[in-house]
Amino acid sequence: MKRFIFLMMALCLITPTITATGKPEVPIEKPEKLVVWCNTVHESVTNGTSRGGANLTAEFEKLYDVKIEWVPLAWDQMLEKIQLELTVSQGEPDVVFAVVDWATPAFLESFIDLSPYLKKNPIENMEDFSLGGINAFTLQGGLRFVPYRSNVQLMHYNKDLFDMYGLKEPKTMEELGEAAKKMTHTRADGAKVYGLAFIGSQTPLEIIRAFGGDVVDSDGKYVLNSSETRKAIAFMKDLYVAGAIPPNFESLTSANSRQLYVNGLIGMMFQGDNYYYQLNDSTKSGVAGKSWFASIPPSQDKSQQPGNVKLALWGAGIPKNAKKNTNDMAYEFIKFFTSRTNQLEMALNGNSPSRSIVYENEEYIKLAPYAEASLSSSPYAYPLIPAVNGIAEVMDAALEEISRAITGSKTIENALSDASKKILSILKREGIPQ
Amino acid sequence: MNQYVVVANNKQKKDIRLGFLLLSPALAVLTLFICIPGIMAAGLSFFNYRLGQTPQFAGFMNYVYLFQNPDFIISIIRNLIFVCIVVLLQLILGLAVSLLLAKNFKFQKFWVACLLTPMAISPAVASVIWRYLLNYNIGPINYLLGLIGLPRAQWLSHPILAFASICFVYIWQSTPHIIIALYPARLTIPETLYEAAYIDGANSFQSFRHITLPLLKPVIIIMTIFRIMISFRNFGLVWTLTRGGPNNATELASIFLYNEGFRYWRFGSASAVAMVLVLITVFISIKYIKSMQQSTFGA
Amino acid sequence: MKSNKIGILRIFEWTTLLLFVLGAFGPILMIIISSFKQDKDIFSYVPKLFFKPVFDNYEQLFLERPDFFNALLNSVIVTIGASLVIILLCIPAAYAYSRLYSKKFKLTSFYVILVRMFPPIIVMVPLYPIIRNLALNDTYFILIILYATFEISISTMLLKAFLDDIPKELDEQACIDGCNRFTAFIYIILPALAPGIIAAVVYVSVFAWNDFTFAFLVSGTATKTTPILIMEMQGLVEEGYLNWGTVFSASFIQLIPILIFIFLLQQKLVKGFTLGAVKG
Repeated sequence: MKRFIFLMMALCLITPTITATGKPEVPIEKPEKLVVWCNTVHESVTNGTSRGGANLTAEFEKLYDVKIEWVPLAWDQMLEKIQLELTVSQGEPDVVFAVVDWATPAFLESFIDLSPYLKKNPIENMEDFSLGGINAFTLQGGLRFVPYRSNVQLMHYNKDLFDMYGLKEPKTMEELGEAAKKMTHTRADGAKVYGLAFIGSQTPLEIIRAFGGDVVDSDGKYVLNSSETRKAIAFMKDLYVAGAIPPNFESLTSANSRQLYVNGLIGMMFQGDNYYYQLNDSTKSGVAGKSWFASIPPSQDKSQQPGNVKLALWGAGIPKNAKKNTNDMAYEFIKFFTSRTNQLEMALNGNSPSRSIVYENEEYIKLAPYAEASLSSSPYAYPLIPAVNGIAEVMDAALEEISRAITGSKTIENALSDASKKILSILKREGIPQ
Repeated sequence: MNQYVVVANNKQKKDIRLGFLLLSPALAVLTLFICIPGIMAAGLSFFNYRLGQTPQFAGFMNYVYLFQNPDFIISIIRNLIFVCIVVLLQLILGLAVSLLLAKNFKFQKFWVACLLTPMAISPAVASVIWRYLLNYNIGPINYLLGLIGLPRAQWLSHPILAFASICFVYIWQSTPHIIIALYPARLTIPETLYEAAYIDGANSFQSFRHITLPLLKPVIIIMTIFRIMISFRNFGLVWTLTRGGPNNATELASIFLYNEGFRYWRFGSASAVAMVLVLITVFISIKYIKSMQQSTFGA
Repeated sequence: MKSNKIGILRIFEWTTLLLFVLGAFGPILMIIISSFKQDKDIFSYVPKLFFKPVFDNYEQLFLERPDFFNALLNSVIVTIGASLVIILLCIPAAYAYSRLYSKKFKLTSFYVILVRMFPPIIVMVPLYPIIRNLALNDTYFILIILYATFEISISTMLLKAFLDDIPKELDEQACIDGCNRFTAFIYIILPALAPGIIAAVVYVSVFAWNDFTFAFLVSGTATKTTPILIMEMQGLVEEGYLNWGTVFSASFIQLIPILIFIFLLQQKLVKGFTLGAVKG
């Protein structure tokens, strides 16, 4: 038995040692290849096969005499794979793509601070990138990821339904709510048509933001307990009672709500701007040619126009456990693919550009008619989830209580006070000052 | 006098040596790839560990925290209910199908292949289809209910229905696992036994009770043990169907574990959940393991 | 009168069988049908039974995802490899448990089952750095070993149960006839064990064929298996770069080899059946 305990203790010690084995000092020499872990989309927009633009991968390889080895990863469990890879003493990838929702301090900690590189060899016109995104990717004043692909949420709407009820594009959240209620009806074939698609894991947060509230602010301070939030929840509850949102909203995913929308069963929905293509593609959509878009409006009490919206963002960064001799080349890679010209080229290949200047390009506007709406929303766009440790748990708790309040299984006050209790204890455990 | 005993002893010793020789490759692989990492994970449950950072010793804090968390306790209870329902129904269905198949049908092989497809199709794609079938708004199941004048049901968003739905889809997907073991086992029972019983005047229930069941018992016990284990930490299907929602109504212990580890970044605590799961599985399956061992090694 | 009763029974049996088949195969049939539909007809409010079949999805799969067939090949290699490893490791182990009677094995048999109770994902956390540091990631070897490892427990026990059903007198008979242990095993026991081997092989091959988590964590570009590719394609569908129908067509094609495999294996099952009849 003693021996067994000893063995167990020895094994417990092995794990940290494996993690912490010293990184071998490799003399700096030019690498032969660059391993890039990305999502499947990121590769396809660089090589020009999809829409016939330039082949940037080939261009980069020629320019720097290095081979790029794209390793496209499926979205499902991508974070797990990256998390596990970061525990290895010398990781395989030289560049890793990350979505902004992952960017908690604990995650950013594992990536190289790019500021020394930026000082030595600056990336042009950093002001093109959305400020919300840059802030989310910054830890202790140092940028860890450079935005590569981004979308802001727009309100996509079914023009036929709007015309049928003589409605205009809503300019405030309150108008949007009224329009949603008016549009809700039962179709001749028995199908129920809802005014607003409501994705349980997202839309409540987006509406709370449109009213000027939030769950925690960017410093991790708890702010859910506010009059704005109360107004927003009351607004959603009202829509729920009126039947203007699908009653199964808690299990409705983004993909589900698009399925409803293309069947003509949804009047309005909040989705990334680039879904415009799918929604108007006659092989994929029953409402092709009738799906219009507008900015997501704020509450009438807010003077700004449009409202605060969700920003979806992918960035490229260099893991700390990458081979040392590839770091410089990895930085060149990031710089190359996030430059103004190449962001435009990739946008023409079907990427959603991370630089605002691309949205003003005429060639791009021809491809993406929503560019202007996206551009006007982008100053008010920031990630749905602030970069705070423990945030996934906080958001889960908040959404759970908010949906209880919407369905009326708790009063708004009770739900908010329960949410406060849970969330404050999580934030306390993570050591975030309130 | 003891010449025979010595020979027998020698033979037995040789048998044991041969036995360990035959067992050792399997045991070695199991030890290397599951047991050692498993013990390391057990060790991690006493640490605060964020992937990629140095673990900090935390004693029993992870366990204390878990047992203070009502969500965890509820998820364990929910998981037990899930396992009971699912394993029982799987066994009954699997047994029924296996016995039915033994009756020999035309195109037999084709039917068997069809019955096994649910476990052969890519689970990710299967859950896409089930999400559509069970969808409240556009799902064909609700459409059919509407046609016969019944109200639509919130298959995935009403707490009780959602739980029933994941049980149903899980049974759909995993019953073939039972069929694949019980159907060949049923085929190895010689038909002559049934003929003899028939001549002795036994009805079909009696021959099921006294021939089929006892002969299938070893395989049934093994399937029970392993189905309990596997369904106890079933993750993928529930995750893709409901993500543990609505309002945690389908949050099984494995989903709790996944959230702790990969979404909330608390690996120590996730390992603690895993250890609790292992203990509970041992506890509920020990009875079956004992009865399985009894048939081979005696009491 | 009696034949009438048998006829009714037969009809009852057929109806039950067809109901079971419908329940099991119905959703799969939807996947297959959907692979011939345009996306807007797949997730429609009124289920579309009549539609003009299109082959665009297959065309898209063949033209835009040639790597799919590569992945299919990888899956075949890994599946066959894992099945072989299972046969090589588990038959001897099962033989030891069933034929070399000793109480000394009792503890090991408990160990074999116990070890399987660790949730795989938790095992992967400490295992991953080891695999990476040994440079075993992205090799067929590690995938094959992992799949086999996680099925060793059940396959061993299943094979043991099937072996127990083969009467010991058979081996003894063979020993008298001049066979030694090994030849008796090869000529007498192995053929009678066929149903058990089939069950174990189908078990491990279905797991290896469909697993996403292990394959995704351990494999890179070289050994990518089909489930990973299908997942990648699903991601592209969400972003609007592929059709849903293409994913369905891929999963239909993925289904075919494993079904053929199951279909062919049953040949052996009938054989095992006749040999099994020897005992009694």
